[in-house]
Parts: sequence; C-alpha cells; structure tokens
Amino acid sequence: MSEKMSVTMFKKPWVKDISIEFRSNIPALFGLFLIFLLFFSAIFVTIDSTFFDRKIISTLIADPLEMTPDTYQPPSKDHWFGTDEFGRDILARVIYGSQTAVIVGISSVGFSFVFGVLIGAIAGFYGGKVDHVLMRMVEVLYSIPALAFALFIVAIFGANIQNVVIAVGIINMPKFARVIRSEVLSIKEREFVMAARALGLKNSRIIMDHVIPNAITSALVVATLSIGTAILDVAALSFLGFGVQPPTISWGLMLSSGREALFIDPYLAFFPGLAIFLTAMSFNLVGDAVRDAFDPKLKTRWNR
Amino acid sequence: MTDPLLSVENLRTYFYTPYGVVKAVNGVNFELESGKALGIIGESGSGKTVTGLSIMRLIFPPGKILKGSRIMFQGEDLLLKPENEMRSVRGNRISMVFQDPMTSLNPVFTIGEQLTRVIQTHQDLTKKEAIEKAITLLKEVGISDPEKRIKNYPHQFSGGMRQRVLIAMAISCHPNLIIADEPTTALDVTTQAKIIELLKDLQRKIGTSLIFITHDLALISEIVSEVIVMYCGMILERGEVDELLSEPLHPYTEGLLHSLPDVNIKGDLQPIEGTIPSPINPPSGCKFHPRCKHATVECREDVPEFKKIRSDRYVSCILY
Amino acid sequence: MRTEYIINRLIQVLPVMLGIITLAFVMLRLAPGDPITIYMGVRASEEDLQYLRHLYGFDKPIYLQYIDYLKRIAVGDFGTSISYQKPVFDIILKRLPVTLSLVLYSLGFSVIVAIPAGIYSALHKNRISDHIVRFISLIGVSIPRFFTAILLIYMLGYYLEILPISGYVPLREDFVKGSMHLILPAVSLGGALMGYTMRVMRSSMLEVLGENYIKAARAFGLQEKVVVWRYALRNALLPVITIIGLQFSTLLGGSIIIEEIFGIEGIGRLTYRALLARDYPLIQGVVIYYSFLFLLSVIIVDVLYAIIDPRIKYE
Repeated sequence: MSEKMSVTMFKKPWVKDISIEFRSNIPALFGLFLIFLLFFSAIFVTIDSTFFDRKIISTLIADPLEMTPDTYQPPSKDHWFGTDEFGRDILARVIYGSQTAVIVGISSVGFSFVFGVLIGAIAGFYGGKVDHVLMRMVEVLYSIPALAFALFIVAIFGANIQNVVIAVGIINMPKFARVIRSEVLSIKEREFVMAARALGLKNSRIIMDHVIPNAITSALVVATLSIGTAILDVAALSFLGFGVQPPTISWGLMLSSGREALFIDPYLAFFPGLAIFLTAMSFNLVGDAVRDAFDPKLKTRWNR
Repeated sequence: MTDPLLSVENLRTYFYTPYGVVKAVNGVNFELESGKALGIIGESGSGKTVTGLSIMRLIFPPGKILKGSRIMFQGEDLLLKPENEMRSVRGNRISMVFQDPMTSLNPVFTIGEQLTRVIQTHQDLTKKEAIEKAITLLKEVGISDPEKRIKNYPHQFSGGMRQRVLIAMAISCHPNLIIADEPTTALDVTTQAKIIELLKDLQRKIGTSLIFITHDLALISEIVSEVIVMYCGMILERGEVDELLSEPLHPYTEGLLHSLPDVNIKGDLQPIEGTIPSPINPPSGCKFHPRCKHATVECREDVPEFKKIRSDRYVSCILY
Repeated sequence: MRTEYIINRLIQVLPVMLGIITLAFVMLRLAPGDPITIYMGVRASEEDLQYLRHLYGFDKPIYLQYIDYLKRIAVGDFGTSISYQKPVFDIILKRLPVTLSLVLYSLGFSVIVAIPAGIYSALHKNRISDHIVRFISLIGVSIPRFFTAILLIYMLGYYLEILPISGYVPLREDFVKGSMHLILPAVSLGGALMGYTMRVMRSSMLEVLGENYIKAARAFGLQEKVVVWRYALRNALLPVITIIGLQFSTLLGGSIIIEEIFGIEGIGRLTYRALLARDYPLIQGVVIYYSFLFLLSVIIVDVLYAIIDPRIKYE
C-alpha cells in the first residue's frame, strides 16, 4: 500500500490533485454539496416553470407568485420561511430565486471569462504596444469601483437581465485578463510555442491551439472564485433597484423589499440574505480548494 | 580522555508528514572534541542538515526529536533544556551558518540592525558598543569599509559578502561550536574558496569547534580533520579525513569518491547507480543495498553493525 | 529621492486618469436618449430643450464637446449638476468628508481587527482558534454588505437599541456621537475587507515564517517575539498592504449601498441619486472622483511599500 502511495505522490494528474484536496477538505465538500443543491434547485425551477407552469412547486410548497391575504407571516408549519408583503410563500420564492442567481452568476462569469481570457492572451502573446494599450484599458476598468461601474452601465443602458450580466461581466473581467496575461508571458517562451512559430503557423492559430489551452487552468480557478463575487454583485444591483426587475424573482430584490419591512417581519429579509450568503460562501470554499490543489507551493511545503 | 565538547547519542528526528513518516535522522552517534572540526558528508536528503538543526533544537512540527536521543553539550543535555535557556545557547554558544546566504538575511533591515540585534541579544552592550563591535566583526570577516556597509541592506551585497555577514553574526558571541550547513553551496567556485579560507582562519583564531556539513568531498579535506558519512539518516562510515578519502571502506563512500571529478583518484568518473531512495519508504536492512554492487541477502534483512575497524575508524557494512 | 519617486508614480498614473475621464465621456454619449429630454420630461417645449442643449453644450459636434470637456476638467470645472443646479465640484467637495470618514472608519475597523487576528491565526495554525478566525474571515468575504447592514440594524439598532441605525453627525461637531453613528455602517462596509485582510495576513505570515531568514534569526537565538513581531511581521505586511489597496476601491463602491441603507448623505448616496435622475454632469463628476481616490490609494500603497521594503528602488 505504501509502495503505491509514493508513486502517486510524485506523479499525479491535476484531476487527482483536486480529488485529493476535496477528500481531505470537509468545508470544501460542504461547499460542493451546497453548489449541487443550488444547481439542482435551479434546474428544478426551469423545468417546473417551463413545462409545468409552476404546478410542481405549488403542490409541494406553494406558488411563488400567488398573492394571498396572509401577509408578513412568520415561519410556521404552512410557510416554513413565512410570507412576504403580498402573502407569497418565501420558501417557494427563495427556491425560484436560485434560477436567477445561477443564470446571471454563470453567464456573467462566462462573459468575463471569454473576454478576459482573449484580452489577456492577446496582450501577453503580442507584448509591446498591444500589451501596453490593452493593459492600460484594463487598468482603467480596474480603477473605478466595481459596484459603481456596474451601476453606471445598468443605469445608463437600462436595467434588464442582459445589461446586468454584461455589467457584472465587465467588472470581473480584469482579474481574468491579468491572470491569463502573466500565464501567457511564461507559456510563450516554452518549446511548443517556439516550435509552432518556427513552423510558420498563424498567430491566431497559435493563440487558440497552444497558448490558451495551456493557460486555462488558472482562469478556471479565477472563475470558480468569481462566481461567488458575481452573485454578490448581481444581488447588490438588484437590491438598489438597478438589477433584475420584477416579476422575475431574485434574492436581491426580495432582500430589498424585506429591508423596507424589516421591523414588521425580519424573516422577509433574513432568508433571501442567507441564500445569497450561503451561495457566495460555497463558491469561495470550493474555489479555495481548487486553487490549493493547483498550487505547487502548498504541496511541497512540508518538506521545505 | 577529557569529556568531548559535544556528544550526540542515538539521535532520532522524524517528520510526520501527510504522506508518511520521514525518518530524517535515525540513530546517529558521534562526538566532537573542543577545537576540532568534523565534517558530515552525504547527498541531499541524507539527514545531515536535520542533524545540524537537531543540535540547535530547531525542529518544528511536523518534525520531532524522539525520546531517547541525547545531545550532550558541555556536560548538559540540550534536549532537556527549557526553551528560553536553549535560546541563550543558540547564536551564543552554538552558532549556525546556513546554506543559502541570499535568503538567510532579512531583506527589510540593514545588516547593521541585524548584526547588532544578535550581539545585544546575548551580550550586555549599549547600542553604541554593539555597533562598534559589529564594525570590528565585519572587518574581521573581510568586509571593506564596514562603517559605511553597516547601513546597507542585504540586497546591496553579493552572495559571498552576505555569507561573510552571516559568519560575522555566527562568531559575534565567540561560540564554542559553529555548525556550517553547506555554507558555500550557493556560491561560485572562487568565492567558495575564500569563504572556506575565512572559516578556517576564524576557527583557528577563536579556537571554536566546527561541524562542517557538505555534499562536496573535495571541500571537506581542506577544513576538517574527521569525517562522518551519512545516508538515509544513518552514519555509514567514520574516520580521519585523509585516511577516509584515500581508503574509503564503505561502498557508498567509494561511490561518492568515484563520482567526483575533482578528487584525484584512479579510474573513470562513475556516478553511483540508482537514485536516492524515497524518504518515506526507505529500503530495509542496509539502506544502501539497492544501489550496492556487493549487496547480499543479508544486507536486505539486517542493518549492519557499526563496527570499529581500528582506532578512530568505523564502518557499517557486512564486508568488514 | 522619495518625492521624485512619488512624482514619477503620479506621472505614470496620468494616462489611466485620462482614460477614465474619456471613458466617462464616451459612456454617457453612448447612452440612449438625450439627457435634457429625459430630465425635462415630455412636457417641455422644444424651445426650452434647444436652449438647455445649447446651455450645456450638447448641440456641438462630439469632438468639440470632448475637447471642451477636457479643458474644463483641467481647470477643475466639472460642470453644473442638472438636478441640483449647483457646480458638480462643489457638491462632491461638500460631501467628501462624510464619505471619507465612513471609508476610513471601516478601513480602520477591518485592519485593526484583521491584522492581529491573522497573525494570531498563523501562529496557532490548525488549532481551534485558527479555525475560528478562518471561519470569520470566510463569513466576511461571503456575506453581502447589505445583508450585514440589515442584520446589524435589526439586532443592534432595533432589538437591543444600543446604536443609532441611520443618519450622520459630523465628527467635527460631536466626535462621540458621530462615531456612534458610523459604527454600524463602517462594520457592514468593512466586513469583506476584514475577511480578505485576515486571510492574506495569515497566509503571508505563514509563508514568511517558513523563510530562511526566520530560521536563521531563530538559530541566532533571537527572542520569539522579536522574530515574529519585527523580523516576520514587516515582511508579511507587504501583501497585506497590496490587498488593502486593491480593496479600497471596493469600499468606495460599497459606500453607495451602505450610505443608502443608513441614510448617510455622502458621495455614495449622491451617486445613487445622480443615477436615478440621470444627472449626466454629476455622474461624470462622481466617476472621476472615484478613480481619483483610487489612484491616490495606489500611490499611497506604493509609497508605503517603498518605505517598508528597501529593495524597491526609487527610479
């Protein structure tokens, strides 16, 4: 057994690194569990609302859109999380809000990922003036507070889901661009890129086929860590009324109306807030674990 | 015979890592007499550095010095000392010079600040006296213009100069023992020779004992009188330096000599076959047997006895 | 030599500043609709609209507008706010102390809590106290500011009634009362910064404690408190300063939401109003103010860095 251990200890692919990291990291496993729960809930909501017209959730819990005279109910047997200002069931609404969180969170990080990786790769690969101009532009983006910038975009171009995705996508982009750029700077000196250049391949070809695939793991780490931040940003926009608009159900909006009724019914704010917090926390936990799994310094620390 | 200055008895230092237990030092015994210089030689991972750190008691978790080990220094067991007493031994009665001068000085303080801090920790001197002492020490280790250099930061010094500063720190309290852990490995060849020269001079001048840890056989003959050879945390051979180099007993020592280009030995350059064993799963029996051409079944089963061949000559091998 | 270094950094920062000023201009020109129409509403007469467009220079060709805009900014004229009918510069300046005191309180709170906690955690690695500190820092970075604010308002302000839950009292007028008013907003705003600072402090302390010069310092018999608090801390602080500098802009952004929740009339709330009213000159002014403060923080971080780390050359 110990023979086998010494072999795997020195030669293991990154998939194994991650699985080893997660096996010994109980908080990260907990985060992973919460993320599964979130995705499961988002998928359930999508199916329920597209094909069943909210029948499933209405049977199981309550219709998240149906207004009742029972307003501002505290948690009870009928309404586990209570009801809101229109008598709607908060639990059902928190579940329905997961869909918005997942869609907006993932797509805005997807936006940052695609554009950040492209900009970073081009800047790093071409260097010189191109690098200088692109990185100054990234710096400009970086120097306006993220939330303020997202607010400007949404306020000016209109508050709808696409603009929220783009705004949050733009403010998280610099992280990707920077990480990829520094990664590419070292990759482009490696033999296979040299060889591809010597063979006379087109630059665009080299970037897409050789440079980006090799730099992508670090961008994935940034992506996992960014989903949590993105969900927080989206919630903040919605909270200020510049995000997703009703009747779309979002945690930020729920929290915002919960704030207005805080002294009447604190649960109205508490549960959506908790949902945002737990989501951000689970992505942070998993993101940290993924980063540690990829960090070569951590692995060798014990024998230094 | 008088009591030796230092006597290490059955020293065992293990590291409890997530991958298994690393027996970095596993039953090491040796003595060192006052004023003498001892060399410890071995490849990286042989446990020579950990031996040095164990004497200083600078082993931190997951590392541990096992019960039953004894480090007698000037008649007291260092392993039984409380930490605060041990601290007044470090840098004062026993000093250490480290392998990598580039990273062994704190980058954010001037060398003067660092040197005077060591001096004032162990000696009751005023700031001014400490600075004067620091300047004298720097002069002693061959740093020109010490009055000015004392205000410089480590990054303004070359590797060789930094090692000189570290040596100045090590001798600042006239220690009875200096442990030099590969002090020249990180330096270029000409600087190496100068540092060795300096250590030799200083050792003679202040009469301190020296443990010189290295993997470089060529260096060792210049500075020490006696050598122990370590492999996988154990001592394989011990002897007077010229004798050990001209007539190695253990196949491993022989192998080491053959793999050196700059030692005058007959025959071609032959590296030792095989690789250093995994620290977590060392071989059974004689740790060297997988790489040894004389290996027998017996070697695989039992650790050979550490035998006295003649006066001051010991070896752990079934051939003798 | 140090002043030269600072001036140099200022010059390096200028192109970014120009970029931001340009971005603010371009973004507002790209916006759909005409600010004057939006502001006056549909009932305004065409003549009035024409007059106002002319007054605010919206009838000139775009490049001329841009040049005018740059010229005016160069002399500190940020235009006149449409909704307040006052110079933008004056409005911002008047509210600056409010936001600055909020931001500095929350910076102070997070740093004072996070740095000792991070060090403690590093020195007690893998013990229960370490786990507690790491858990708190995880909460800090994961919890939305507005949720912290709401929880604090409910528990400390409403339920226990120990702290005021809204409003602002200038610190110059009444320091104690002003500080009381700032506690809840500052804590809500600084939670994330506290969390990030804690984890960076912890990991950088652990990293530095493994360095050779720390081993060497111990081998020279230095007192453990000297080793930790002088030799290690000074080196370990460098990454912490970086993260605080980067997070400074997050504090400014977060002040929008926090000032709104706590009813503090600072620049954050002003930003929110300007956005709701589409007050373009004011929005521009606020963008420039934000980036100016951010770049200032970058320079402060660089100077701090240069003070702590002698290896940084004053080129």
